[in-house]
Formats: sequence, C-alpha cells, structure tokens
Amino acid sequence: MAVMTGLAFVYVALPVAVALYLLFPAGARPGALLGFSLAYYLLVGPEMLPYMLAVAAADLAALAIMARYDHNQKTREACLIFSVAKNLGAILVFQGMATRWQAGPETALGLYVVTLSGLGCVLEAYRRQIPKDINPIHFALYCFFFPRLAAGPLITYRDFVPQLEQSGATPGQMGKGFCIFLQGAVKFRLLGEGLHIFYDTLRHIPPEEVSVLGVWTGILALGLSVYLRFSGCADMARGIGGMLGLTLPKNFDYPYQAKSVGDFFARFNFSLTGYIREVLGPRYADGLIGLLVVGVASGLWFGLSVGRLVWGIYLALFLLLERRLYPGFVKRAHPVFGRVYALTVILLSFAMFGANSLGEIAQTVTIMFGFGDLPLQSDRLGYLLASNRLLLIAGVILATSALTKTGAFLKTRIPAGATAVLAFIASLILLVLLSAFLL
Amino acid sequence: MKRYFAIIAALALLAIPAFALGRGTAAMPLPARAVLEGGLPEVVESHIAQSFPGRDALTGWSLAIRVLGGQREYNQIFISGDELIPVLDPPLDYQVSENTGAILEFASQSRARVYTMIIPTVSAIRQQSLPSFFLGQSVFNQRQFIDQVYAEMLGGGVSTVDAYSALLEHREQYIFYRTENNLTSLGGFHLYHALGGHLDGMARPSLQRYDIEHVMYGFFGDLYLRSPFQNARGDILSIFRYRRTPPREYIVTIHRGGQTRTYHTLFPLHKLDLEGREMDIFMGGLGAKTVITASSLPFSSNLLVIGDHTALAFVPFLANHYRTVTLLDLSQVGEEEIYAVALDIGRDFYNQILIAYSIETYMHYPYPARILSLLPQPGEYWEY
Repeated sequence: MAVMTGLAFVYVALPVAVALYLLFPAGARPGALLGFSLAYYLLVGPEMLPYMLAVAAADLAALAIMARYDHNQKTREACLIFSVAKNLGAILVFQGMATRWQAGPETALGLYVVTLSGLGCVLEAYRRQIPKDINPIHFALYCFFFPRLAAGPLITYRDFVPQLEQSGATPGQMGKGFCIFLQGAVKFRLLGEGLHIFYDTLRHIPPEEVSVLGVWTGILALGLSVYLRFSGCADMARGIGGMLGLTLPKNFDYPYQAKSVGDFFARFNFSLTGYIREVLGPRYADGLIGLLVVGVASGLWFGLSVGRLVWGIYLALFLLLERRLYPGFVKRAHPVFGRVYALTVILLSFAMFGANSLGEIAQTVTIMFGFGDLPLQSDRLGYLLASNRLLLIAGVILATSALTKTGAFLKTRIPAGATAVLAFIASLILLVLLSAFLL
Repeated sequence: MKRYFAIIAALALLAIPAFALGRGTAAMPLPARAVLEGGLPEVVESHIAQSFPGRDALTGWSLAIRVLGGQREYNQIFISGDELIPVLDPPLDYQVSENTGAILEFASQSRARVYTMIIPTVSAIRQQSLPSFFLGQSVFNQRQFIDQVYAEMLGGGVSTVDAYSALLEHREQYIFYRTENNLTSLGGFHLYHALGGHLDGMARPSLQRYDIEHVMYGFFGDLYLRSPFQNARGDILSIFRYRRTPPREYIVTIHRGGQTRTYHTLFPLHKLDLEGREMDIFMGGLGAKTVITASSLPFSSNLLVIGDHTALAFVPFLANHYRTVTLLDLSQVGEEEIYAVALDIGRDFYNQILIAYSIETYMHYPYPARILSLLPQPGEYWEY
C-alpha cells in the first residue's frame, strides 16, 4: 500500500500522469489514463494484473450480454448472479493467494476496488441506473484508475464516468489537488506508518516485558495507524483525482469522534458502507443480515484474518444493539456520553483487529483488564513512549477535527490572500518534509 | 495563488527527477532488466534517493525532527548526548558455534601458539549511556557471551585475551570513536597492553613512550553516515608513534582487490585528503592481506593476525615487536592470499597467531570460520 508515497511516485509517476493528462486532448484522456493505470499496476503488482484483467473482462462481457438482451429479464438476472458469484469467488481466491504470497493478511493491491467496482457497475446496469451501452475504456478506467487501487474510495459508475466527459481541471484545481495529496501522503507515510511500526514494536516486545499499559498503548497506536494510513490513502486518491479533473468522494470523517457505533460506520471507510447499502438496497441494509454484512465487510476490507473478521462482527453486534434494543437511548444521550461510549467500544475493538487467532484476542483482552498477572508498566514501555511521543500526540490531534476547525476559523479572520500564501507555504513545507522522510 | 502554486509545484516535481536522473545516468541500471525482474520501482526509488538534491541536509533534518519527537534510536544506532552507539543484535547461535568450532579445529592442527581475542562493542563498555532495559539485552550478555566462548576455547588449547576488562577499566577515556564503529588509537593501546601479558617476549611500554599526534579534528565516520544526527560531535583522529632514536622504519604492503600498494610508514597521512577515506591513515586501511615489515629490530619472530576492522587500532602497536606482522581479513581474501599464508603457516613462518574479532563480527558473520581454509586441504600435508 506504500506504493503511492515513494519518491519514485511523487517525483516520476505523478508528473508523468499529469503530463499525459495535459498533453492529450479531452477525448483521448480516458485512454491515456487507462494506459498509465495499467502500466502502474504492472510495475507495482504484476502478479495480480492478469487475474484482475480477467475479472474486469468477465464483468464487461456480462454488461455486453445485458445490453444485447435488454428485454430478457432472465438473462439479465443470470448475468447479475454470475457477476455476484464470480466477484465474491474472486475475492476469496485472490485474497487467499495474496495471503500466501505475502505471508500476512495484507490485501492484494486493487483486489477489492477492481472486483467491487465491476460488480457495482453490473448492478447499476441491472437496475437501469446507467445507460446500457458501456464504453469499454471508461469501464476499464473506472475499475483500474490508479489512485484508487490502494484503498479506494469506492464510487458509483454513474458518479465517476460522466466526469470523464467534462472539461479538464483548472490550474487552481490541480494546485488544490496537489495540496490534498501532500496532506494525505504525510498523514499516511510519516504518521500512519510510524505508528504502525510503534504498534509492531509493542506487539513483539519480549514476553517478560509485556505490561498492561503496554497493551493499551499498542491498541491505541493500532487504532490511530489504521485511521491515518487509510484516510491518508483516501486523501491521496482524492488529491490525485483533483489534479486529473476527477472528483472522488471522501472516505473518512473523523470516525473517532463518533457518538455511537452507527455514527462510527457513517464516518469510517464510508464509501464501502454506502456501497453495501447500495448493493443490498434499503430493504435489507438495515436488517440483521445487512448490519452483519456491513461489519464483516468493513473488517475484511483490511485483509483476510480471524482478528478482522471478529472485529467486524463485534462492531456489528453493537450496531444491532443500537438499532434494535436501545435506538432512542443513543440519540437522547448526552454527546459527551455518546463519545465516551463509542470511543471505548471502538478502542476495545482494536484488541481484535490485529490478532491472528481467537486465543490471541482472549489473551490481549485478559491482559488489558489486568487479569494477566503482569506489571502495570515496564522500562521498555517508558523508553518506547518517550521515543514515539510526538507521533502519538500528532496522531491524536489529526484523528480529531481540531486542525480543520482551526483552519476554518483562521479563514474567517485572515484576508483571503494571506490564507492562500499560508496554504502555499504549508504545502511547500509538507513537500520538503515528505521528501526528507522518504530519503 | 493556487495557479502559481500549481506552476511552481509542477516545476519542482519535474526538476527534481530531471536533476536526479541527469546526475547519475551512468549508475542507472538497465530499466528493461529491472522490469523483467519486477523491481523497477525499487530501482528508480533508490536512484532518486541517492541523487536527490540536498540529500544530506534533508536526511539530517528528518533525523533532527525524529530526535525532537523523542526518538533515540535510528538505523540500529542509539543516540546518546553527542555520541552514536550501535545497538547489537542478539547472537546467531549457529554462527557462533561454527566460528568457535573452526578456531578450535585450526588450533588443534597449528604448531604455532594460537590466541583469541573477542573485542566488546561500545554499547557494553559505555553501558551507562544506554537506557536501563538495554542492560538486559546486548550489554550484560556481551560479558557473559565472551566468557562462554572463552571457556570452550580454553578446553581446546587456545589462549584467550580479556579485552573486555582491559577496555572496561578505561571506560571513561576516549577509547571508542563517537561517530565511527571502531576503537580509537587509545583503545587500541589498551588492547595492546592486554595482549602484552599473553604474547611471548613482549615488553609493554607506557603511554609516555609515545608521541601522540592529533592529525584530524571533526572527523565524522560510518555511524554518522547511517545516522546523521546533527548534535553528534566529530571525532579526533590520533596516531601514536613509538619514541625512539633513530626512529624505526616500517614498510606496509597491502593486497586488496588484486592490487598491491606499499607505504613506507604505518600512518600514510596523505589519506586525510581523500574524503571518506580518512580512516585509511591507519596502515592504509584494512586490506585482504597487509604485511608490516620493520627494520632494525632486535626481534626475529613473526606474527599472523586474523581479524577485522578493529585490528587497525592495535596492530600498529604490535608492529614494534615483530620482524613482520601479517594482518589477514578473511572477509576479503582471495585464493592467492589464502595460498600464500597457508604456505607460510605450513613452513612455520609464524611464531604466533592471533585471532582478534569484534564481538559483532564473531556473533553474526562466518568470516572467523573461514580460518579452516588456511589448513592443508585433503591430500595436502604441512611439512614437518
């Protein structure tokens, strides 16, 4: 997933993509961007490319058959069923392959984006939400648009493709897109990755130095790193999209400020939640199955592992409790109580997220609540906390809307020209900082 | 304003790769091959990183920010005040066993007396500079580790030299460089004294018998390259010349990479002018095989030292006591050097053989075990 933040990406791949966008006339841009996206995929994930192309080609074939037999409902249904079965099967098979190759639960690059985009497009065609004749280049670009491959965001075909026919990005939009990209890259690489390394260090601490506070700190670091890495990726994708004249949706909205678990899902990776609601339809989305699907899919989006599956089910259970058992309680509760409740439930959930087995989850929870007969803290924890204090503080600040609100407040007090100059300087500093840390 | 930023950003983005690619075109590997092997992004990444404008300053800034944020360890190097202390990984048991076994096998077949000296690292000797939990890991274990290895060797007839105590006794002195992973000349002097109690016929002159010359101030060594911490204090390179009238003359012959160089001094100071090669002022740097021949010496014995970079610190002192000292670095030697030294061992040219390695090399690398290549191969015999 670190493929979008290397020096080679920032200083070679990104300028090449922008140059292609600027050099080609509007009508040829989708083809140029598709060629670039496939070349990019070939370089960063060559093992999976043939499989992904086959998956997308099958969906394109299903779309063509649906268009040809537009009046035959059974054929259209068969195409939809085929696409659902094929894409879910592809996810299981390819994720299994990727897990074996990478010896970990990491998601194969672009696996979910390509399969879910293809399936979503077939569903939109089935529901007649898009024209029946699909442009193969537009469809392929929709599936393989390179900024989305790492972690989304998911977007509907009907929202994405019409943008390809609009006039291109202005220099102002490109500049703004680059700023958003830089913010995402710094969030992802400097903070998210740093916190992940911190979590990993705490996780692999020698058994004789494990402590209660050490486990809690690890859980906090994991929660922050998941948010910063994935929201950073989403920001990078949005920024690059902006530079190339395409608007991609936001995917995270300060999820740790949620007032309930339901609110958390509305703020965390919500392009996926929205996609699931779109697929299931309003009738099933709020039912038991719908909530379970939302939870499980949200967990497995980050990779196939027992811990992530349990993480999703655990949160889905709270979702269910909020919707069915005490629906009014959450709405009526004081916002502070809501936030404390949601944060506690969510923080505990990360005891499951990083685990590889049920035994590991049980062991972690036991230690967290002081039943492991372990010391409260250790010398090593003190040293590691001191070494990573800036990362933790910056992570906590960026997980809240404090900076955004401060920025908005300053905009109301400072003249527009000065704000632009400040934004310009801040972006240059971010670029230098990012380069320094990538060397 | 956004428009101007977009233009400036675009120019910067295009200028940097152009600069990086233009600066090192010759070193750029063949992209087609990298594509075929699936490693083009890594190749380009590494190339841009190496040629990035202002690389050193930017790396220093990023480290300064890390340190400001509380980080004390970077690239396996602990930052303590103004000195850089490399952190030692735990030993590789199979490697240690292989190295010890090889030395015992060699000693059992050698007619010359064999000595072993394992040299601790700065993290053990200056442990007060490290956080307390480090003491449970690499630091305390170095003493224990050396004792365990020595216990095995003593049973096999190998004499051992206690470098640990010799250095610990002088831990408050400037015996390790702050930015280079090696002993200073003073550290080398203390090891030389520790050796003096073991190697035959060696008197141990005091420090007052040496003229000490500080030939360079502000030297930044290999640790600084790996962890360019801006508060690190530069080192002083000093040479110790034994005071004698007339001065003793040495010829140093270095075999390295198929080439031979000769210096008529133990300390070729002209190396100070070569950036990045300052440590070569000690016997011209570590070669595959280095032979030091002394003139007008009353001694007639010859010493073979098999070791690593740490030998540069103490071998210049030993040169004062032998007709020849041969230093062999088994990580660099080729067949030719092996053959020549094996032949000398076979004809009893060497009176003593000293195997001296830093604990880091001994625990993690197979070089000490290569000593077996100096034994006669099956079908060959040493002359008796």
